[in-house]
Amino acid sequence: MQLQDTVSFTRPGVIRGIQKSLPMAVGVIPFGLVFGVMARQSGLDLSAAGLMSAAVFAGAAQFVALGLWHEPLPILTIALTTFLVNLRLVLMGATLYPYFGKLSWWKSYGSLLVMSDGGWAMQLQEFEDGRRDAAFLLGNGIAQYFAWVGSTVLGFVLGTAISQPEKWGLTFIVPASFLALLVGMWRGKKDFLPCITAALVAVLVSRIIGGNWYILFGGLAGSLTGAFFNRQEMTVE
Amino acid sequence: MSNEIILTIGLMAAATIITRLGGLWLMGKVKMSPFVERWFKNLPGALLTAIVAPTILSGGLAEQIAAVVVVLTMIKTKSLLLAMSVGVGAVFLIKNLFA
Repeated sequence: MQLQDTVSFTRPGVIRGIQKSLPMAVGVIPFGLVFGVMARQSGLDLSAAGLMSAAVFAGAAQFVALGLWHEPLPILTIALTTFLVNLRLVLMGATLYPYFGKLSWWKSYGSLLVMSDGGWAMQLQEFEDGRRDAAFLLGNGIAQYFAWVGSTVLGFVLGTAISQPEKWGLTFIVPASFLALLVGMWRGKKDFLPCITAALVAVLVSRIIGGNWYILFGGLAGSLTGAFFNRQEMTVE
Repeated sequence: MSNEIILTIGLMAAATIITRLGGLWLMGKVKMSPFVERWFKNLPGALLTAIVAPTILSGGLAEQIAAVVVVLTMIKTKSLLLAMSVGVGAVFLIKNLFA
């Protein structure tokens, strides 16, 4: 974390971001297909489904919105729910501050417009590996954006012709990438307590409250536990 | 497409943009204390764990075995692509050979 003042933002960084994120983008496709199918079943037309994926570009929030999609449209409920489901992105954006805070506003905020969970985690991994190019996030966003919007439209058009992508293991790509990124980020013993706490709270919240709250609660509980108990961290590093 | 639908999608987009940009914006406003700094160092791992743990626990046996395979492959090779591929391959094999 000492080299934070040398963050760059280059075209090769964008290209690297696109290339390295292709497997993750492929992993997004099954979810986009399912979203397209479900959007059709929920009464959206093709333009509405495509517009939602293109303008919102946030899978979890869009699936939740479909669940609320009844006439007359509960407009404010859908907007507020979208905000709450995406609150985790606030925390993710905040952790990028040491790096993106150094960039001009249009580079940093422009990149964050296409930040997803996976892009955030991969960008942090890039920094951990000693690479300084913050344009990776934009590249990741571009790859995932096309995969998400394209597969939404495809899913809508093909309808229920696509059945059971989970049989092929395809829906496992996204969880597998998160798990692998977690292993890559592992800093050793001091991560044990915050991560166990995060896992326990996330599992409990997902069972009791349901929905998407478990990410926010688990992440907050784990990180705050780490902040309370890993006091030696500042001096050891 | 009706005006209601366009308005709904527009508000969803606005709400999402606020969450995407809000974290970075807030960090420019608050003063970093040592506690906040420790908190943020612990946040990435905790958030990722929170995303992954319920998904894997609620998945089937195939996904759980594959999760172990992903972790081991990642520890051994440090390759994200390889770990993902082996994990997906494991799910496919288990579901199609043993199910």
